[in-house]
Amino acid sequence: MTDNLIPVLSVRNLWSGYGGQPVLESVDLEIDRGDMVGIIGPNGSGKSTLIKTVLGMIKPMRGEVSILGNTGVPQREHVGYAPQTELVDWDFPVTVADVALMGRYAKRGLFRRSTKEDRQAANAALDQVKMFELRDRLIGELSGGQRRRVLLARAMAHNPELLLLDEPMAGLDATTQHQLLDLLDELRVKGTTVVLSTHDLSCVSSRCDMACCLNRKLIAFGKPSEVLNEQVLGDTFGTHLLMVHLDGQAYALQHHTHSDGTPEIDHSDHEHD
Amino acid sequence: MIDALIGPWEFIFMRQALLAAMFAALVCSVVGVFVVLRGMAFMGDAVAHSSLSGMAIAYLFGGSVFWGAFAWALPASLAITFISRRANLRMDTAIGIIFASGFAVGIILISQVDNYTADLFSLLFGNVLGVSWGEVLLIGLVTGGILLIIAAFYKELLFTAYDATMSAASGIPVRFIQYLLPVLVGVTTVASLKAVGIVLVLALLVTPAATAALMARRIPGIMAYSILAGWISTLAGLYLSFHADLPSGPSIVVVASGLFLTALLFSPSKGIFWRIWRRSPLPIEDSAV
Repeated sequence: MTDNLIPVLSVRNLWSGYGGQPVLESVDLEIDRGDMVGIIGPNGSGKSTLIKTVLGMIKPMRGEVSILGNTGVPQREHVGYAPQTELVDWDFPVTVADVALMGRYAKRGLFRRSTKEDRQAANAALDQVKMFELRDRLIGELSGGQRRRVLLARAMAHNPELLLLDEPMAGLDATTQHQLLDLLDELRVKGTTVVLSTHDLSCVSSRCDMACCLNRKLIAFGKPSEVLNEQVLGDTFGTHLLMVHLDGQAYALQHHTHSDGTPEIDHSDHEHD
Repeated sequence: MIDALIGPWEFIFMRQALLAAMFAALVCSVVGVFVVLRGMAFMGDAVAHSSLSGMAIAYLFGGSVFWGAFAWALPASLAITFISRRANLRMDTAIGIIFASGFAVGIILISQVDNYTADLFSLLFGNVLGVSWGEVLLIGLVTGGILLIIAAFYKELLFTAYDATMSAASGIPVRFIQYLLPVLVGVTTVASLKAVGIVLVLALLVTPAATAALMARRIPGIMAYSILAGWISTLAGLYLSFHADLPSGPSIVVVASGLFLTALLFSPSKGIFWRIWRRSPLPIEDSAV
């Protein structure tokens, strides 16, 4: 039994980065069971660093990460992870079922062959992400949304308490994004805690319980309706964001300056109460 | 016809050659699947070339050339991984350095022997017809050892080859695996040197696995096809060598390359020929679909 009072993930005064250079400075976070948390921030703001530090793939320089109250040793049994799709070799000759089965590794460990229980759990995960029918397909034959769902199935195959998803929405069209978010909603209802990083403000404001605005430091952490304002978004993205209210929805217009110097207005629509 | 098939095996040296080459083809075909998937072909080639140093040292001191190569292969494989990791160089740069330095030192050492060209020739191009029972046993033992290690770490090797980041997150000792695989590749090439020689060992390592990747979809199938292609190449290559009086190593490689070409053109699922065939006759049919 998991004590509901213990936060699923707690990060205290975390400094973390690569090669002695901190990317994250002094980050504090407490994430409760069953929440869906969206981490937003520009490129290089430390979204992936935060996820990898929580996973135990990067050792914190200072501070600590605890999962379900346990600090130190990586809590692999309790954590599922889906990397950015660009980091995955989609030409590798494995099937959807093979990839889902890899998600059972954290439970099985060195030298142990996968058991019937592993295959059933992998199939159940594929069923949940509606990929069971495609289990014999090679991963290279899948569409963008299907690829995302296979990675999700792999992350879920050992029934983790906490799911860490690095940019799960990137490159998906709006319909596919919402299907994926519906899927995550189902998991959340069952008590899984979901932490995802994204560039998409609208997805965080409309679908997440908590927004975590990161730009090397924690700019804000709280309910999207409370923290997603011009001040916070300006501090997070380091650019001027213009909020436009239309028909009760708020849209953030983001000022980009490209490397060639031409300014461009990019809209990232952002619903707001 | 029967005579042509049975004839070669009446000679003990041909039986020894067949066994040695079958072992070499077996281990190369299995390890080759990882080599092809990870793009490590020149890693194996570099270890083979640099091991000329080890062979030359053993040769000068009258020891077993095979053990000399073997003793050289381990540190050479580790050095490539170590240099590329620690010096922050790309793997192919580290490979180039180990490849050329080991080969150069080997040539210098061998050139100290009078009339060295004949011996150098057999090291470079293999001399499977001159293999002894002791060497057959040794190649067999090395093959068995490598296959056992692969069986033990199959899941880890596969998972790491596919996705190292995720493997690390799942608790696989990724760094250990990333050092282990090059060592397996290095030792495999050395075990195959007797069969095809330094220059051609790359073919045995890569060609059957590449042929198999055209034939099967998943890794277990690819491995099975790879072994099949390796064994067919060995057997047919030795027949070719025996009856046409051709050098054995290159004959094996030529058959392996022929199989690859056949698969490239006529593989049921990925053959170029079928793709053109299906696409070609009339463009009207195409647009109707």
